[in-house]
Amino acid sequence: MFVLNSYKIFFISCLIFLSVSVVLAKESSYMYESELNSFGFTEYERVNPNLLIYPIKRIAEHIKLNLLFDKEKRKEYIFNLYEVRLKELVYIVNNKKEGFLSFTADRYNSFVGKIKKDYPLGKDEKQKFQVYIRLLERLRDIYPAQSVNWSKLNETIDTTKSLI
Amino acid sequence: MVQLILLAAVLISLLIRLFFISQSKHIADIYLMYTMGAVFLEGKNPYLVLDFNAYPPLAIFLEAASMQISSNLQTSFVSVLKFWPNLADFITAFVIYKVLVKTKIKPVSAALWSGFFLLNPISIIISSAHGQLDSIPSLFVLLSISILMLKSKKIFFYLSAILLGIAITIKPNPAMLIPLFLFYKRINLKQRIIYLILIFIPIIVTLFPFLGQDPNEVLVRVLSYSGVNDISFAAILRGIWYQNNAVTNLPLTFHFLSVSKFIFASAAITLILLFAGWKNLAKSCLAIYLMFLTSYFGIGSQYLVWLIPLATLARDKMVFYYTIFGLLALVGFYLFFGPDILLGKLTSLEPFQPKNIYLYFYGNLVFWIFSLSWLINIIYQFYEAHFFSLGILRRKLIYFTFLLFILSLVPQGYLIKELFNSLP
Repeated sequence: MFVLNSYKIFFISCLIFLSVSVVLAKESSYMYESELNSFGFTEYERVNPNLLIYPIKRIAEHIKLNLLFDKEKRKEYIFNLYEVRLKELVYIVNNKKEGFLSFTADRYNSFVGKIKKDYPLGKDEKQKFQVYIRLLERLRDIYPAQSVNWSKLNETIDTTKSLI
Repeated sequence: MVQLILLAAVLISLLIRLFFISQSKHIADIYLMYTMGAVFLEGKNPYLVLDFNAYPPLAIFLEAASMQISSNLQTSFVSVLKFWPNLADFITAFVIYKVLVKTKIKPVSAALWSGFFLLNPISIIISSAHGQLDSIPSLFVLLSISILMLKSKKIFFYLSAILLGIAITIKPNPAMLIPLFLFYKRINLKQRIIYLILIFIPIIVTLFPFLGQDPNEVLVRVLSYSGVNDISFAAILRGIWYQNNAVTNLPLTFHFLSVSKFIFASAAITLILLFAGWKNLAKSCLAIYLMFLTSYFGIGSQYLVWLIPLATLARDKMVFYYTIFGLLALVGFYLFFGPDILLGKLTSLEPFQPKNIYLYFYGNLVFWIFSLSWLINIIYQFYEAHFFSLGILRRKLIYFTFLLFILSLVPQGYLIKELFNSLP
């Protein structure tokens, strides 16, 4: 009985730690919001790859995706998820969390690969992706040319260009 | 049936351990132990020459002997060095079986507990994959407890002191158990002093050859090792800090370590006052180790193995959950910081990959919370059964030291606040 009570303590402590992890996302950025808005960027994701609760978000995404059986809705959700990956990448770069850049860029590239394989872009979507590429180029150029971070972002640009 | 269980456990355990040993690389602690042995064989003093804290003397002798044997047998140092802790694990399982049978436990049940120890993944990982020596002092502690439990002759009583002393000459952690051994039996002051002297004889005898050149420096180097902040509470803070910008080193680590020494010391005094003289010596030692794992900041991965023989001997079923949560914490640690230590030649995974921080953090979070709840559970069991039969002065002392323990938590709270304030 006493041990069961300790488990209650355990769950409460987990919640405290999870809230701490969300609080940790302090910001200091390279680009102003207005500049980001000019690329059609509206807002950051609430949960980004630097946070310890990120896997929970990913699991939720997987579950939702696997429960979508309608082809159109699935495609729509996939493109929403693409925007989520892009916003995560913008958050990581713009908030100077470069320690997570490679990890986030790899996730982005792998997602773009998935779109390329299963969901060829239509005309309107291609136009939208042109804007995304410009945003990625702007992010890339924050870093000195040929630096590790520059190259990583250049990879994301190349991958995105391959969709068009 | 008993023979079948034991034979199956021995064979399966042997196969798994041999597999891990065959995949070993000459890295991490293995490399450090090789360096300690090599320096000793060159006739130099490892405590003065090395830029890291060398292990106690018997561990150094073992490392040097392993080097000689590997050279004579034309085999790798890793394989020879890993032989000793694995041998200790098999002997420990045998001792657990024998002691349980002698304490009137059904042989089938004793064999199952013994088999559980042999196949315990934490024990296998630490001895066979990591190659740490901690199983050896654990065996000597177990032998010492068994002798105290089963033998009543005075000679065995003193033998238990020597065995505990030998354990400390390999790894210093059993030193925190000395007061519990010292007050286990109702004996007079003279006998207690003799017992204490006998504990220190193996330590002095083995340390003596190293004291020659600069005894002060040697003693400082032997006693100043503070551990590494890899597992348990430190790992939780490191995980939280990592979110900032994938930085693995935690600021204020030195301060956290210093403060946690006081926290553990005050908690250990409370526990010793509480448990001294309790017939269940294995469980009281278990409580001290649990307190160390949960309150101290310098917990290394291999420390998780210390309490498994004790919990198995005490037949505390919480050890099953401990194994699961401890395994999560360990695998998270190895995958994040040193996949090579765990998987050896099996893989070439890169360390410090953000995707592995999650298992490291959550594994350590559940491990720490579970260990704390297990400790509270043991204290509560004792409190209900024995606390009010203790003398009033002793109870007052327990309350007082408990208050000190609570006060010792305040600086840690302050440090945690500082840590979050120092976020860029």
